[in-house]
Amino acid sequence: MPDESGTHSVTNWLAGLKAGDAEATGRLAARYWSSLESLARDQLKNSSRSVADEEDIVVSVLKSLCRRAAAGGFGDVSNREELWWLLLAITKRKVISEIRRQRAQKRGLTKLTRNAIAPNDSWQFPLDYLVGEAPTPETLVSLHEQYDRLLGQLRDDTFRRIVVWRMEGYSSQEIAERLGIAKRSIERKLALVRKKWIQEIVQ
Amino acid sequence: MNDRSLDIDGPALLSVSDRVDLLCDSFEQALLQGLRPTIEELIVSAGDDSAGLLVELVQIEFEHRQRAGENPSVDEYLHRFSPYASILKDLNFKSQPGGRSRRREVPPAMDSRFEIFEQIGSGGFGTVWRARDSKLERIVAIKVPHANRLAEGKIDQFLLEAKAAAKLRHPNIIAVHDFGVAGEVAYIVYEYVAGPNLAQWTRRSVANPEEIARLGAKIARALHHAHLRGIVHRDLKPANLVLDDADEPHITDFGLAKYASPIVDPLGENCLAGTPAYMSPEQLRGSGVDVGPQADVYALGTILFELLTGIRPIEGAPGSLVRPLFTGSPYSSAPHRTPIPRDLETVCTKATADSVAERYCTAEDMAVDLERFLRGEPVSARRTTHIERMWRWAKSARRIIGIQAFLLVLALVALVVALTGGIENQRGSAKILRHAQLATNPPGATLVLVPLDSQTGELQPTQMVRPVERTPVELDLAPGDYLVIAALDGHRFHEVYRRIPENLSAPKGQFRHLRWKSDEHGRISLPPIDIPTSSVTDGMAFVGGSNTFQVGSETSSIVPAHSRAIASFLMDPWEVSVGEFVKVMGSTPADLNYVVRPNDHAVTVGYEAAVAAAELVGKRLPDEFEFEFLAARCNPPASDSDPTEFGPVGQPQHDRVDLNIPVFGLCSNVAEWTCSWSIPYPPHRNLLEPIDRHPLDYRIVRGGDMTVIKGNPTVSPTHRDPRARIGVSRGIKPGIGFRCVRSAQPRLTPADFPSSTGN
Repeated sequence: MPDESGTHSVTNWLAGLKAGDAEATGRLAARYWSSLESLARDQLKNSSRSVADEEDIVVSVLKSLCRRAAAGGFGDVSNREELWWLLLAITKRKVISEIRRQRAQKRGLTKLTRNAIAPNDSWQFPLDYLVGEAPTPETLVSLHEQYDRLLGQLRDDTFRRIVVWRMEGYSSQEIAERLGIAKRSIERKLALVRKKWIQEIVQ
Repeated sequence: MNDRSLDIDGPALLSVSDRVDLLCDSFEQALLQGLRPTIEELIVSAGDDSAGLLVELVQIEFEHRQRAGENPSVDEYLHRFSPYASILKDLNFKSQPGGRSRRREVPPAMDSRFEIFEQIGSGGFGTVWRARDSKLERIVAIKVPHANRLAEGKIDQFLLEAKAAAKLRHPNIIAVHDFGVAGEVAYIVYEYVAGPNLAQWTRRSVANPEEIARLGAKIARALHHAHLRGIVHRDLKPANLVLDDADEPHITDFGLAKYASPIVDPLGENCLAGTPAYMSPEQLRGSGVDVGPQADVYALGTILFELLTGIRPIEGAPGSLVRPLFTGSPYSSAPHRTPIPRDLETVCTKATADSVAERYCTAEDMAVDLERFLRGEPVSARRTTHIERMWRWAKSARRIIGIQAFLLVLALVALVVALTGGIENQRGSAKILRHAQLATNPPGATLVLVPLDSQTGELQPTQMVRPVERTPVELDLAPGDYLVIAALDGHRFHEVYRRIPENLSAPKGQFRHLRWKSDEHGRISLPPIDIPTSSVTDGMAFVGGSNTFQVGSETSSIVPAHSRAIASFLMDPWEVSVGEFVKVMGSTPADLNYVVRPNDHAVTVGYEAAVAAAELVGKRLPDEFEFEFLAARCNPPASDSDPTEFGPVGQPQHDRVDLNIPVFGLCSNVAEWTCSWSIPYPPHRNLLEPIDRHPLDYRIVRGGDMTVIKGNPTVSPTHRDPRARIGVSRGIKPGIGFRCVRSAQPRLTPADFPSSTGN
């Protein structure tokens, strides 16, 4: 991934982010997603097995990421209820509970990074907590698992199409036109999904 | 096993918002089918949720009315639902789809020349605005592509396309006045035709066949004009056909389809640029294939067919992505209009042939045939075969010659069909084969695939496919449904259903026996088969078979007695309970018609869910004869103790068949699904009625009549005739559950399927 600008600018962005600077947030998120995307591309390239085996899980987060990047990236950073923020938050939560579990098993290994401390009271994770550190291949695996799991939980294929398209960056209006149903219905279904995903984070 | 959905409010209850969502879905589905569901009725049934539901329904109806070209007003709704006025008043009703912010999509640089009035349409391509050209003093329509959908490099190409379209001069093609780039946005200025477009027009008026043929001929001529100049429309649909004040049709949007936002269907992996319902098979199949003029011929044929019947043609219709809840089949309740003249039907059939070679060569040929029809002359399209003509004659003769002669005619037709090899077989031989992968857990199983007849659902053991290799296997299969038997050494085996899709873009079912995955080469992989251990039969009753079982009844003409061989099988002692179902599937069915019952009661589910659950527990559904074989041995029900509610499985105790393990409830409690399709009972089988409903959509239910199926159980003999059969659409019903069986032996050769055709 391109990171010639170095950590210095990242530090600045982080500072800006805490100050509520929308541009800094956007840059951080863009950096985060572009490294995720290149990780995803590497993984797609290197995977010889056919992707995913379970029939209910039909889309991988990798494909959505790549399509989204191709369609023009992530412009909607400011909306904290956007599905991809929620997905990120859910993933983070799972990763942390996994770390906690492992730590409980191996008492000696207690070193946790600053960011691994999860706020429990709200689903509104601090932004730097979600995108402040570049993702690792493990993040991607976990993201992948959570995405597939969440898609599998949806009631029917209409819901899945809506979520996937939304993750790929299409507007409610565009999805409504494609599915031939009212825009309001898309918004209603998205709200329902958000509600369930937020519940996942706070539970 | 995957961790299937557990609803956040617990498995047995849908949350309020889920219920509202389901109600909205069914309301919208009815709207899409051209019905007029009333909000008032629905909110009454919603009880406590009524306010929230109302807000949703009003907005959905509002949007759909706008789309249909109506101009609904907010006041109308405030008045209609005055008790809720305070809630509705706060709603942000949008006078145009998209609302205020859309104004910004019109490039400011254009404002000097064009006075923009209002948005008159929007679609995958962009938005359309009514405007006044101040230079030339005329009303125009300006089309602006979605900025984010037109990549930089494409603008030049887009302008070239607009330039080509601008050269088209035809009375039935909307003229391109101008095009250009203002700021960073490309635009096209069209001649303004007020409309309605055909999509709106069909909703408002019922046209006669002659009127439709007249429109069709004009459109076909105009298409030909464009085709001669090398321009193919590619996205012809009712919304792109606009009528003027004199009811003359005008085609718009030539050549723009390829700039519409491509959207990848996440489930079908297909690129859906365009409107799938009207897209030719070559468009649906191919990405990057150069689509020729005959794609437009196909689309026009489809549109005419829709105008004539009021039925939107099948596969890929956007509405079909939404599962209909109330109505079962998406088209069962579609309005049917007057019968279609045969020649006109022939024209549509030829225009919509799957193979390009069988279609009209040019749009002009189609126009000529439509004009012939208008003059009352015979059309040139392929005459129907003698078999089809006899069928048609037989159908129309039915009214005149009475039922007995009609049955005789049908027998004759059946004979002719049998002698000539049948229409289906001729078609069947031309079918493509799909390359499919199928695996088992554990691997190393022998596979046998038995195709189901696509018309009757009957197993066709003589056509079984037996790959030499053991699983995982790859093989080429004709599209259709299969019973797949996977047998390991020893006594482990499973019998499941799998589907080989004909059309990869067809909507997939919810359950694994209806799903597949396809790669870019059109190869598919089917969900793997989990073969249960031999302990799966623990607790099942063994039912010894018979070579001469008298099924049916001596006294009945509907189910006359005949003799059948029944192979030995094992049967569960009772129906699958709610608790078991939840354990296997993760939750109760998320369906509005699902009736919540205690864990020890039989679960009531739709047919496909029953098949899926049976597969997951390592069993299958019985066919109707297996069910009858045992049900006929039930103790006569005691009519004096008619319960008015379904009880726990295994109740009442007296309804039992004593085997090594007693089997309960075959003629009491819920009625039960069998895997048999709703076709005539075997002695009538060669008199296949030309029925309106397709047997594919119905399955035979046993063990209870319609009162039971509707959820009003009784145990009296009249409602519980073990010989009675009833065809029910596959959706969920309050009184239909299921129980599982297993074959005693894996059926690996045709001889293991005795008398599967009936005799």
